[in-house]
Amino acid sequence: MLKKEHSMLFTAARRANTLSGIWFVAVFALSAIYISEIPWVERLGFSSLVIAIVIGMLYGNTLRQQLPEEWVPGIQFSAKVLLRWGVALFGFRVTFQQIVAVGLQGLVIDVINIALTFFVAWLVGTKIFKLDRDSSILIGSGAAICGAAAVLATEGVTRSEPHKTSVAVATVILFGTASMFIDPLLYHAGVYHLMNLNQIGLYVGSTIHEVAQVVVAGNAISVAPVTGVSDFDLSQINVIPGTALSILPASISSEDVATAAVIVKMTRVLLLAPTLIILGFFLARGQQVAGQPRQKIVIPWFAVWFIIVIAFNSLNVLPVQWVPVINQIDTFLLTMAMGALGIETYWGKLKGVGVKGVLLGAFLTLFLMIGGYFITLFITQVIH
Amino acid sequence: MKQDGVMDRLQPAPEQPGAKRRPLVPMPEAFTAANRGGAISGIWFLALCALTSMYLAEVGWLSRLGLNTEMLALVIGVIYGNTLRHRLPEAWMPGFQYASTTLLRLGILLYGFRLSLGQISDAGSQGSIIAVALFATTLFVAWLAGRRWLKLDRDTMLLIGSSAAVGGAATVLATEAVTQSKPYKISLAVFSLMIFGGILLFLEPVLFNAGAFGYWTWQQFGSYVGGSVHDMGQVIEAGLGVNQIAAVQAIAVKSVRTLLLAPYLLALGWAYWRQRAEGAQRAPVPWFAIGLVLVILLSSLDIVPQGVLNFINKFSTFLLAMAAVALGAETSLSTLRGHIRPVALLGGVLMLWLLIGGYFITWLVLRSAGA
Repeated sequence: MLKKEHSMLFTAARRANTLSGIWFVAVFALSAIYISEIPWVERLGFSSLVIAIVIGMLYGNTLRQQLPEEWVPGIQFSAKVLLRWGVALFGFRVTFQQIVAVGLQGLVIDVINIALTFFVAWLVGTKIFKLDRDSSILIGSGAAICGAAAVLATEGVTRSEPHKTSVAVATVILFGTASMFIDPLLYHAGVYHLMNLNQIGLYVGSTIHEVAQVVVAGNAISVAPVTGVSDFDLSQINVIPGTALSILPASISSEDVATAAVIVKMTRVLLLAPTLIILGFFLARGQQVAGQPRQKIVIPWFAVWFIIVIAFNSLNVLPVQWVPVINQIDTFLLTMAMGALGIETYWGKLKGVGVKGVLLGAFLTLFLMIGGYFITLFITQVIH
Repeated sequence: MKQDGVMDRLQPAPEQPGAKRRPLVPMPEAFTAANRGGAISGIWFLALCALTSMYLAEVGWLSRLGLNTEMLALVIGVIYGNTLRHRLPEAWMPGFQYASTTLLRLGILLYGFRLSLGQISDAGSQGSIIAVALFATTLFVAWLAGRRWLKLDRDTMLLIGSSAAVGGAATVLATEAVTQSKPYKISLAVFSLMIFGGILLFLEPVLFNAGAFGYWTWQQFGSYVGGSVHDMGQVIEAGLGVNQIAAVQAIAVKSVRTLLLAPYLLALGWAYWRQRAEGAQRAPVPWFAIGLVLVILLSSLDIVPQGVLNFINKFSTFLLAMAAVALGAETSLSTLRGHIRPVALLGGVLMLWLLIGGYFITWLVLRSAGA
């Protein structure tokens, strides 16, 4: 599963430095897991992933310049490769039965969201913010599909300059992290009271940028006790017409929020490949550049692995006592990825990017939050 | 007190003071404007490693082996120190020094909040006598075997002796705060503690269950375990190896042994201070040993709320773990290799003394009390 660019990090000359970076992220992650298990932190509902990104950002914005530059590849390795392994292993928490439960609704919501987000990104980006087309598309792909990885994959199609890519990645980090915190807060404030838990899962999965951020937000909604919303409980949702639980398996527990969200999110990730093909088609029509070779389509292999793992998990051949161990490893990997993302999210990095790009990213995030809300409500009522 | 007699005999040790002492890094020096960022980075790094070891200490099978936070922290430090240490920025090192000196002392000081004079009555008179007797005799055996037979240097003998007599990784760290010996000696002492204490942890319940202790009750066995097994974590596991009643008594007796840390450190600190005062260097008064006594007295008043105490205990473990990682990272395995044989012999002798001598002392105390 190691690409060439990543195996380069482990040559004899660079191995110790890369491992130092990974070790550094690993102690971040284990510390975050330890802190998340302190009773009062647990009661507040902060998962180890949130704590990892928070202490990562704390570090990134204070002591970051003391970090040896040679360690950085190891940190980026954790943020990219380990994240993908973690996501693939997340498949052990999912079965095909659950996919079927969210499947069609999730797919339709995803397709609509992606199409609309790309369209809005292009329209608003080029017409209102007067950004160039490539930047608009890159920022749009980050919001619409699957975060930083999608931006990098889209760059393969648009072949734009690196700084545009980093603007787009910065918006993903900034606004994805923001919505990761905002969505659970709004949920606990009772803003989403028209939605049942399954719809919230669909909503979170189809509107937050990065997979890891979706996991965090989904967990935050699942784990944390519903406080301060005295008139909000599951039995009442049944009464609200059109959102009745009869669409879904009757026993929707709050744990399913994270699962549903991740399934929807991974559907979005899988849509990366067809999206890129269509995008490439449109771009090719716009500019017939002669003499350039056709760009290879980027397949998100970790999404494929995710499905393979789910298939394996659905066969029920895994010994039961292995499941918690795998889940622990998975949490550890995802926590490492979040810690690494946090370390790499520092103000200096975001400061340099263009204001217009950031504004577009903010606009798209708002569009996803508000538009995605109505799309989710609408689709779940139309498709039963 | 009896251990003062032992300490007096330790005095004429023919070692050069001053020559091997690491210079203390006083706070302003570690945090000058030039290296403040580096020092804090080093401390941050140690803090993460310490939290990691606190997490690992809660993993079930590790704690059943009697491994506690400080031991795991030292192991993490040694592993890191011998693999990736050379990639660590030099600028971070002041943070390591600060953790292994100042933070270590603060940690020991706060450790005092776990101890109180009330623990003596918890252990009962028999338990307390067993604890004191084993403490004193074990130190004496350490001196006899370590200095006379194995010709070890005094620091190593004291570190390993205290790890068996008082018991515990925290004790080793506390002793280090007075002796300021080389980091590899701490590692040696903690390793010997882990291995030989670990052997006792498995051996004693097995022997009891096999009927080797004859008519002993669970409680009497508990007193024996509390007096003879090295570390608190190991004591708890060894006690639980029989049952809850044995474990409770074992913890009570072990607490008295840990309480002896205060007079031990005072005596040790006084001895080192006097010796260094005779030498050319101005010796530091071991204020923290005096502070430890005051903290224990304060904690005996029972006025600190339980919630605050829990926090202080966690925090002192955290500080000690940071110091242990820093000391472990300064230990190179190649240095250790040359010292394994005498240290293993001393640790083994002490273990045998605790196992067999501990049995007879417990037997004697129980018998005289019964008569």
